[in-house]
This record gives sequence, structure tokens and C-alpha cells, in this order.
Amino acid sequence: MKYVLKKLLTMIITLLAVSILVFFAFSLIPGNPAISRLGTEATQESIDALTHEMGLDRPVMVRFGEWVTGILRGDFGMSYSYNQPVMKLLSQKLGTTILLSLMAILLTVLLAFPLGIYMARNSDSKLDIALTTINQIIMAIPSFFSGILLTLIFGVTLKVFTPGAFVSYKTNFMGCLGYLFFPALSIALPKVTMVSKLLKDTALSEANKDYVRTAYSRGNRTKAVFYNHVLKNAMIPVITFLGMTFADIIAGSIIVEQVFSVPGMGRILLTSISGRDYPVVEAIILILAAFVVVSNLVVDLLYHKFDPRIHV
Amino acid sequence: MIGAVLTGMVVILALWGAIKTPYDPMAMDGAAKFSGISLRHPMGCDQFGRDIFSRVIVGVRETMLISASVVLIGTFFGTIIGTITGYFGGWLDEIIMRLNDAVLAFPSVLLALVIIGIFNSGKYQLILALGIAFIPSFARIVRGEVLKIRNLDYIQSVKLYGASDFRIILVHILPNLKTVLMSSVLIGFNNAVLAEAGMSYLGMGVQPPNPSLGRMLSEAQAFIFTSPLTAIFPGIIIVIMILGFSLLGDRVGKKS
Amino acid sequence: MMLYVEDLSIQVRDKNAKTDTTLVYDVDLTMERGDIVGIVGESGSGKTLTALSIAGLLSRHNMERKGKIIFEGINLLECDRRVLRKLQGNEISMIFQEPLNSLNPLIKVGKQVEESLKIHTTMDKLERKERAIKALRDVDLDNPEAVYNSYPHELSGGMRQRVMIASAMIISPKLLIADEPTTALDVTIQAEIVNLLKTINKESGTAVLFISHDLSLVNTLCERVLVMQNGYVVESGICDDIFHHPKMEYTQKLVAAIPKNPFVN
Repeated sequence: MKYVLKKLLTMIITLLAVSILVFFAFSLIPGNPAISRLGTEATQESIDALTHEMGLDRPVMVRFGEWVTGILRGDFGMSYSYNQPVMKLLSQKLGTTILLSLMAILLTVLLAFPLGIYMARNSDSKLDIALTTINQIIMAIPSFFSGILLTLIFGVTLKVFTPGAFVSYKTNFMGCLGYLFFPALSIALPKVTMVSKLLKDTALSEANKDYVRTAYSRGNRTKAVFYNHVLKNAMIPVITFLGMTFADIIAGSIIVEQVFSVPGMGRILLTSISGRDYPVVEAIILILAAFVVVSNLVVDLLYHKFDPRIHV
Repeated sequence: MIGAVLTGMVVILALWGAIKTPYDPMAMDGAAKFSGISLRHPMGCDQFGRDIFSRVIVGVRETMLISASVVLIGTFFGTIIGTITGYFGGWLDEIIMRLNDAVLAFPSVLLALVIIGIFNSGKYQLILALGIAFIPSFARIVRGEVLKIRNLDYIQSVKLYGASDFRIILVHILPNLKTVLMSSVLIGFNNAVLAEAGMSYLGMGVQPPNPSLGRMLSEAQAFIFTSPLTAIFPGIIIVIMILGFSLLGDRVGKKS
Repeated sequence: MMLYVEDLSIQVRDKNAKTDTTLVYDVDLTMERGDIVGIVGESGSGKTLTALSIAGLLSRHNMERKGKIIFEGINLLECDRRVLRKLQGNEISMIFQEPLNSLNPLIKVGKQVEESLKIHTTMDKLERKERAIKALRDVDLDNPEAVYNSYPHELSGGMRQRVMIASAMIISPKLLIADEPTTALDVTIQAEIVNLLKTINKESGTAVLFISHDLSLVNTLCERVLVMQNGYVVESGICDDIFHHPKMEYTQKLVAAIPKNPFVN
């Protein structure tokens, strides 16, 4: 319990640090956002009026305080370019990105575990060597290119899905899941290769440990030794890796959303960066940071559940 | 072996792209729009009739240069930060490493996007953004190694003889970082290629009409129904680059 | 005769060099029920390989074994793997040098102690737990219920080796092979473990094959001993005879190497 509290505290401190960094980084950028909104031809009066309306004429510290207290109430301020509250703008996109990331994680686990277990149990067989080679190649395909290849094969040639025909999960949940399958797959593919390779390698090195010999000395079958003894120990580094991958998967969704025209956080992040819509950018970064930090916490707790040697 | 061959191929392409291209990579030819593979255009032409092969080899050159600069920035500052914090320790080490870990928790593409958001998009901004994003991982690796070396017996005895900290770092510690840096530079280069391609795919890197592999992919995507080949070649080249470097990195990692 | 080993040789195959290296040559050994026999030798003498091959724990892929290991009428070198598995943990069990590494770090001690019951009997959970706690009590562990629910890293070295013994003895095997079971432990705990093995042998009639590099330890426990050097059995016979009148030069060296207690003699 004490451990969980300590972790929660560091989590809050990290998020606070991120919010400070993000807010001041964007506040110190030269140039008045009011000018970029009105264009260079605008009169001084209208610029002054807008600057005042946006609250940009007040001290930075005051604005930071208001921003933080607003966030605690779930209010991320107003978007510069869309003229509506950031939270309203993001709410549905947030859901889409979460759905996409969760699907990618699920696919990673569902594909990598059986694959890694198969390769470990049949190491040096012909199929294992073939799979290892394929793994190595897939690992080198960036998610945006595998996304294009998947679109080409399943969208254009086989017509399993229609590229660009995204439906919101609010109107058609199953249809949305169906459309997100291939984007999730292209995020998951490189992760699948890494996780299955790691699982195989650690399982093989665990198989040389003394406790495995003890398990055999009790009359266990090879299968029982693998599933009851080796696999459990091999899972520990795999869980650690999966935890680090979570952040990567969220970042991967930003790029892959672009490939499959999925209207999620990634797309609006890119348009807001090019449109210099700072409140939106700040909000997205903070939300993604919260994701990363919370997922790290979950992995930490899982890790402690799995490994009794580390005290909670 | 295969890694060396693939890497060699990529390097030759990059050199070719640096010296002379078969066509001007930016010259448009209306008659050659979307023309397929031919002797004159081995990879065909894009939506403006530009020769894809010429654009690909210039793109390879750009990607290699950007990735090398990124790794250089990351290694240089990472080594300085890692050596100082690892050698001297104390509260400075504590603060910098806490910050380092917080930054490391974020994927480099996300971090680079934030920095691009501050500096604007463009080739040099991308190098800067990715370079900064790469510093923490190098700093961490170097710090770990310096900690190990610092506690070795012979460093302790050199200290007893009155060698200054500066001399110990310069003469005894930095040369010993070579093996660790070697394999992390290769891995880093690989990640840099991936990150550069990803960023330019998102339109945050080299600006049009200059060719870049990632951007060629995203532009080709609009014509995927009619002319899928335009996307295939730049993509395959990216895969070959990453595959070659990762195989090479594996070998170096195993040797050391 | 319970165990009869004849002309046992062990070769290791090196796949790359395509050469075979012989590590154990022509070992002969016989044991009756209730016997305590020691094998003594330096590291690399082949004593552990001999023990592992009797326990059926040598990899069949890269270890070539010749000769005979007959246990209760079954040749362990030729029998089906299923037959061998029925014996392992049931009639033949083994304990090892490093009790910490020999226990699975992620599984509670109790579950590991009762694993043989799960494999070889039809007992239900409650019965197994009862037997495991009894086995832990039999190896003189205080508070066996607490030990049952702890993880290996929470116990001391001596406790871990007791746990290993409890796990090996839970099904009352006919033969217990102990491969340097005290080497990793403190001297005082060494004596306790040796005494425990003696008691187990007396009370349950389980034969013990005790492997050690320490001739004096073997002498306190065993009736008969085999001395091994470079894969060969160089001398064998009654412990006392060999200890006091070693014939071979190597054995004389082993005896001379035993530290003398300055207060005796």
C-alpha cells in the first residue's frame, strides 16, 4: 500500500513537471498567437482586442495557474483555430485513439505469445528458423509502410475493407472495430516480432537454469516443465518490455492514424502543430503523458504481482 | 554478412545520390506521369512525372545525413551528460537523471513532434528535434558504463597518485566507452532512420519539392488505387536500410 | 539388488568440432536398499555426471551413455522415457548443490514440495498440503505452515536445502541422490544436513548416494565409497579402510588434504 502511494506521488510529480515544461515551452515561443490568427494585415486595435480576449496580455504565471486549475476541472481552455473548448474537440478523438491503442496491444499479446512459445518449444526446427527470418524482416518494416502494404493488399486488392471509410464508434461500434483492425495490426506487427523474439530468447536461457533440472527430477514431462516452470520466469522480462512498448504503441497510433485516415488524437495533433493551435497541442501532450505514466504504474504493479522477490 | 551487403548497397545508393542522379529529382515531365517501370525510369515516375529512382537515391542520401547528424548530436551531448553525472554523482546526477528518465518515458517521435511544434518544421529543425530526443538514451548508457569504470580498482589507484578528475575522465574513462558507444551508435542510427522516415511521412521533415523517402510514401498514398508502385519502392528502400543496419548492429553487439 | 551400474561411460558430443570427449569411463556401482554410498573426487572427476545419469537427467541430445544402469530390474539407459519419468521423483529423487537456484523463484515452497505428489499420485489438494507440511516437519523445519507459504528467497540457505530434501523425500523414494548438498552451506549447517540424511536413511530405509569432494564428510556418513579421478574410479571399498589405509596415491592426497584439528591427537 505504501508502495502504491509512493508510486502515485511520483506519478503526480512527473505530470506536474510535464505540464510546466509544456506550458512554458509554448509560452516562450516568439510571436503573438493573436497575430497569426488574424493575419499580418490586421490593425493594431484588432490585435490588441484579440490579445486581451485570449488573455495573452496577462502575466505568464497567472495564465499558468489558471491553466492548471482549469485542467483539474477537466477544462483545457479554448482552441485558437476551432473556437470551441479543447475538451469538447478532443473527447471523441480520444476515445478513438484509446480504442486503437487497446486493439494494438491486444493483437500484440494474442499474436506474440503463441508465436514466441512455439519458437521456444521448437527452437532450431525448420519452421522456427523460417519464422525467425520473417520476424527479422517484419521488424524492419516501419508501421506506416506496413499500413500502406496492408491497405494495398486488403483494401485495394482483396477489398476486405474500404480505405478511408472510417465510422465512429458512437454510431457503429462493431463497424468501427472492424475498420480499426488493420491500423491496429500495422502498429502491432513490429511489436509482435520483438515480443515473440524476447519470449523465445528468455525462455531458452531460463531452460538452462537449475530449477528446471529439479522439475525434471520430479518426473515432469517436458511440456509441464515448460508451462509450469519456464514460462512463468520468462514472462518477467516480457512484461517489462510490454510496459515500455505501451508508450510506443500510443506514439505509433499517431502515425498510423494518418495512414488509414482515422480521425483520432494523432491527426488533430498534427494539424494543431502546423496551425500553431497551442492549447490543443498542450492538452494532447498532457493527455498522452498521463497515458504513459498510468500505463507505467500498471506495469509496475503487475510486475510486483508476478515477481515475489520484489517487495511491495 | 547479409547486413553488410545490404548496408553496402544503401551506402552506394547514397553516394550515387550525392554525386549525380540520372534525372533532376525535381524536374517534372507531364508526359511521364505515373509511367511504370522501364529502362529509362527503373522505378517509374510519380504524379508529376518525376523520376522515382533519382528521387529515391537523393532521399537515401538525405535520410543518411539527417540520421548521422541526429546520432552525432545524441552521442556528443549524451556522452558529456552521462560522463559528468556518472563520474561526479551527487545531487546534480540525481536531478538530471530524474529528468532524463521522465523524458525517456516518452517515445522519441512524440518528443520530436513537440519540439517541432516549438521550432517549426524543416530539415534542420528535424535534426535538432530528433537530436535532442536522442540525448537521454545515450546519456543513460554512458552513465551506467562510467559508473562501472569509475569504481574499478585501477581508477581508484590512479586517483591515489593524485591524477586530476579531468585527466582521469579524458585518459582513463572516455577511451573505455568505445565498445559500448559502438553498438549503441548502430542501434541509435537505426532508430534515427526510422524516426526520420516517420517524421517526414508526417510532413515534419524535409520540405517539398525536395525528395525524402517518408514524404514520397505519404504523397504516393493518395494514388494508391491507381498507381501503387509509386509507394512500393521508397518503402522497400527504407526496409532495406533498417534491416541492413539492424543485422550489422546485432553482429557488433554479439562480438563485444 | 536395487541399483546395479556396470561399465557406465559418458561421452559429450561437440556438434561443431564433430569430436566426442569421454568424461566418465567404465564406472561400476552396486547399491542395496538402505545403503549409503559415497562418491568422492575433485571437480571435473565425473562424479556429478555419474549421479545425473543415474537420476536420468542427462540430456539425450548431446550426451552419449554406454553400459548399464539397472534400477529394480529396469535398464534406465534403454527404457522408454515414460517409464523413466514414472521412476523420477517417485522411486529415485535428487537434491543439488545450490538449493536457491534449484528452487523455482516464483513458486511458493509448498507447491514445489508437493509437486511429485501431483505428478505421481491421485491425491487432492488438501491431502497434498497435509503431506507437504508433514514432510517439512520431518526435515526439522520450525513452523512448517509458514515455510509452506513462503518463497525460496525468503528462506536461509540451510532451510532451502531442507526444503529440497522434503521435496525429494515426500513420496518416500527408494534412492536419494545428493549431489554436493552441503558445499554451498556454512560448516555448522553442513553437519546438520549430513545428520538429517543419516536419520532419513535410518528411519525410512531410503538408500543415499552421496556425492562430495570432501572425503571426511563422506567418511562420517557413508559405509562404502568410490574415489573418482579424471572420469575413472580409482579406488573403491569400505569407507574406514580407504580413509585409514588409502592404496592409491590420489586417495592419499585427498586424505592428506583434510584439515587436521590441532586439538585432537
